[in-house]
Parts: sequence; structure tokens; C-alpha cells
Amino acid sequence: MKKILIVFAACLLPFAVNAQAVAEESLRGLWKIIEYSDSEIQLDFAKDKVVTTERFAAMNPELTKQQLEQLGNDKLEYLKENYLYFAPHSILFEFSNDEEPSYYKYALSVRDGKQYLQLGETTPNEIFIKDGLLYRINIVDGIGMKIVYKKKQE
Amino acid sequence: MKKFLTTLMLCLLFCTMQSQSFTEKSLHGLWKIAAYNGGWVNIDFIANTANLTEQAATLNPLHTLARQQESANRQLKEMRDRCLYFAPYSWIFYIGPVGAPSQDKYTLSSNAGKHYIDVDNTGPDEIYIKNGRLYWTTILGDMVMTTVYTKEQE
Repeated sequence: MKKILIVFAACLLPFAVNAQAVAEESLRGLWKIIEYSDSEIQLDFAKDKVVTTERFAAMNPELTKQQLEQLGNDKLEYLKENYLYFAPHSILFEFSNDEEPSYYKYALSVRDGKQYLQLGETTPNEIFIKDGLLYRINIVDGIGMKIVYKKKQE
Repeated sequence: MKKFLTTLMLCLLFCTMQSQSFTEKSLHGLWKIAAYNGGWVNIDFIANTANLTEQAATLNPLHTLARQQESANRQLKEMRDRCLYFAPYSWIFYIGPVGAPSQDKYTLSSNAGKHYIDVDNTGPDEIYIKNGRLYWTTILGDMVMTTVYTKEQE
């Protein structure tokens, strides 16, 4: 009986691993931003909430507390209608409301057990899907940025 | 009783008309090319056929039918797998296996029960959805070109 269970578990393992990997098919469609965070600011678009860090104030020493708050709210307003559209033929459109969309030819790769999204010549972003949400993490010069998207049904 | 039935019929008619009404939301999503009628040629992208019509013989007497068939076959090859994506904020994305993708802004309008789409202010083309298929007709002089798209699931 124990042997059967081990064989059964071993058979299930590849499916579990596959379910976690980001395949091009699982990316296909429209994703809308729901969270943004970096070392200076955290934006929660569902709750319309802005949280700034000490670094945010340090980076803008000329601004008053009120102006810092305004800057954070402006960033929230600017990013709240940001979309990614993963199209056929490995094409990605990124757009925010009325602004001219950008498009990229994208590629997916795996390095050190992590999956990366390469957009044209830009630095690859780590990506993964967890609980139906798409996470995009970019680290440049030790400073990280995390964006979370939710799929939009049409 | 008769008055009640008449009112009921009118209500049902109104509901039916509403369900067939053409809105920006009904366009949202990915549409793949299924057929093209260019007057002189009928292309069926699902059956993978390009057939000349009777008009082909009269279109350009200097071109032999064999050359027109060559041109039709080339069109079949070049247009195959082309997609349109109707995104939020009235963006339309053009996506194909070859060449760079592109995007434009579009507006919808209605006149005398017909619906029109104007892409990047190039003039209105008639557009409608019937049996889940999107019909897009462009008129250039005396040339009438209709492209048919089917909705893709993502």
C-alpha cells in the first residue's frame, strides 16, 4: 500500500511542478495592475492606498509632508490604469489609459529555478503566477520593484 | 388581456434589440481573421483557400487570371493569422506573425441603424457582429472590402 502511494505521489509531482511554471498560454490575455511597490513607495490600487518610506522623503528633501503625500497620490492616479496585454506571437503591449501603448517582443527563460520575462533589450524581470495573480519583479542596481497584476475577463 | 400581451411583446422586442445592440464592450477581446472578400477575391483562412470572383476578369485586363491567382495566394499567406485586439480606452492593436505590431485609437458611431468604426480619423467603416463573427467593411471608391473575424478565447 505504501509503495502504491509513493508511486502515486511521484506521478503527481511533475503535474505540480508544471502548474507552477509560467507558460506563454497562462500569460495570454489582459492584466491590470493592482499593486506597485519599490523602496520608496507602496501603492494599493484596490484600496486607493499610498504608503511611503523614509527613503521617499530622503529622495525628495525639498518637499513638505503635504507635497510628498500629493506626489504619492499623483503616482497612484498615474499608474492605476496600467495594463499588460500578452498577445499571440510573443507580443506584449503595455499601456496606461490614453497614453500611446508600448509593445515588445517578449521571451520567457528560466535561470536558477526562477522564471524571467525579457522585453526586448531591457533587463529581464522575474515573473511568477501565484493565486491567479501575476508578479513582476525587477531589481536594478540593488533597488527592487514589484508589480502585481490581476487578469481581466472579457 | 390583449393590452397586456401587446405590452409584453413590446417589452420582449425591446429586450431583444438591447441584446443585439453594438457596444464597445462587445468588441473587447481578441479577434482572428477568418475570411476576406476584396470584390475580386474571396479568401477563406479557415479552409485555406483563395478563390477569384467573376470581377477578377474585369478588374485589370493587363493582368492574366493566373497572375491574379498568384496575388490572391500571396494575400492568403500574408494575412493568415492576423489578429485584432480591442483593448480598454478605445485602443485597437494589430497583431500578426510577421512585421511589427501597431496600435491606433478608434471611435464608434451609429447612423440609420448601422454601426461604424473610425480608426485614427481615416473615415468610418461599417462594422457589425453577427453569429459571433465580426464583419468590417471598407469602401475605397467602387471597391468594397469585407473582412470577417472570429473571437478567440484567452
